[in-house]
Amino acid sequence: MRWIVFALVSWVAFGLEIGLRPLLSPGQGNIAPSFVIPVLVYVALWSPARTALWAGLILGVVTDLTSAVDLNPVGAATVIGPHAIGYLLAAQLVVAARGVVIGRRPVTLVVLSVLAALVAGIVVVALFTIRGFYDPIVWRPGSQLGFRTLSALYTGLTAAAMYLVLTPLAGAFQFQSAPNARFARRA
Amino acid sequence: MSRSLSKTRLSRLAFPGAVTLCLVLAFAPARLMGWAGWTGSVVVAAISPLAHPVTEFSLWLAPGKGARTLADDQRNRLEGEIERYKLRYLQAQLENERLHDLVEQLAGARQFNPAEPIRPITASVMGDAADASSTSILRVRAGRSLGVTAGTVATDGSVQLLGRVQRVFPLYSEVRPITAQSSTPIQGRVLLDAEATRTLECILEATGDGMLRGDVEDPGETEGGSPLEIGQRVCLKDRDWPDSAQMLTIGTIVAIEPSRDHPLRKVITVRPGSDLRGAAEVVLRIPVTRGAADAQARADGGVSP
Repeated sequence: MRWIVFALVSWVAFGLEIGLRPLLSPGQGNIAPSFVIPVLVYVALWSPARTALWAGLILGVVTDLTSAVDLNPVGAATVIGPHAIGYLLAAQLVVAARGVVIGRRPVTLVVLSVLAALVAGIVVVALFTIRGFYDPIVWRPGSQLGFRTLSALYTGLTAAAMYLVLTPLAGAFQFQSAPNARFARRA
Repeated sequence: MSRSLSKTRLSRLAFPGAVTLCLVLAFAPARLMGWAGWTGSVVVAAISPLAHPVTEFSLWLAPGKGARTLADDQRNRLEGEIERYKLRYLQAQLENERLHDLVEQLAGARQFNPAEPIRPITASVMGDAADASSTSILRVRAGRSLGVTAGTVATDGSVQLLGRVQRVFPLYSEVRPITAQSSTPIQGRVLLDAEATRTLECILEATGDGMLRGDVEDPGETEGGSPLEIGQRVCLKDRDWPDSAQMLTIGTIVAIEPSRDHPLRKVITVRPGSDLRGAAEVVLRIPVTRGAADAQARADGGVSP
């Protein structure tokens, strides 16, 4: 995989994820679709396992660095780790599942993006909940799990849109097993 | 040969090492993670060239969000002027009350200075955090380099209170809106009439759906006929906030219910005047020292704000 293309696509995905939230997020902005997870799933579908896991870790660390958690009573903190581990496990899920799915189909990207976002969300909630026992963070595990489950379902929509963008970029990524070639072998 | 072997060994160790490091950091106490905020600010700065214009575009497209910017028409500016004069009037009234108390008690209370000079800075909203669920902060394009400090008060173009700055980075700062569930309760004052001659104290907490809710003493029990009405304005009167922020508007009452726990109280629901999460621009009210304000005023040939 060409890492420079991955970096550029990830940069655009983060820009869209943050920038389009006022438009796509209902209510107070707690439920929002992810543009980064579909990129992660797409890369994990077609890259070697180790590359996919690195991509998950990198995207997770960047998400951690661009996020914050509120502190009680005032302030906020940047915590590295929860999303990194969450996205790593999400990438592992895709790597494990890609043997039994047809990667070229849009529904694959949609379903795996929803599942990956769910896994990442559960891991993030679990890690922050543990952290809540000794850190003064403002954290409500129940509502967080609810927000993240709905966000994961919403991510299915962005994954469908991202499919249209990512598929033409397959050549630029230079995956070792190109999406179309792989599908041809299966056929 | 040996160099390529050590390189292979290093690449094998890199991934488990990175995962272990992330696991350790995931559980490291927040007080030890200050450096992560600085690193994050660099990453945010790298993403903002794309995120910021997309955010502005989204706010322009989103119905009801960010529709009113500071550069709006003359009518909005004039309305803002009226609101600012009302604010000065209310703050002067508050000062009168304080002086009255001071005379009565002959004791030195904390000096209240409603005319505390401020330097307003207009800052556009860059967006919020990548993980929207874990926080409710808004990132605004004004940072330490412009004199923003933690605790700086943020308003919309007029006198609507938006929130307070939580963290400051060189190029941007993070504002926590008063409607965020993680915000601490704020004390307010319900203005029962336009001149604010009769007021009621209240404590409001964010409900999580863009509103604030809290108890207010029911004056109906003592004065006959409740003067509390839907549409009345609620202003900030909280000693935990800077003096210059006192009597800024929190919102208007949209619902009044009897309190279940306290029969002599009512529960009011307050809606801020504008959608705080959908603000396209904010005004940061940066306090300046009196000496600096006077020097500035002399330089401008006018008076300090």
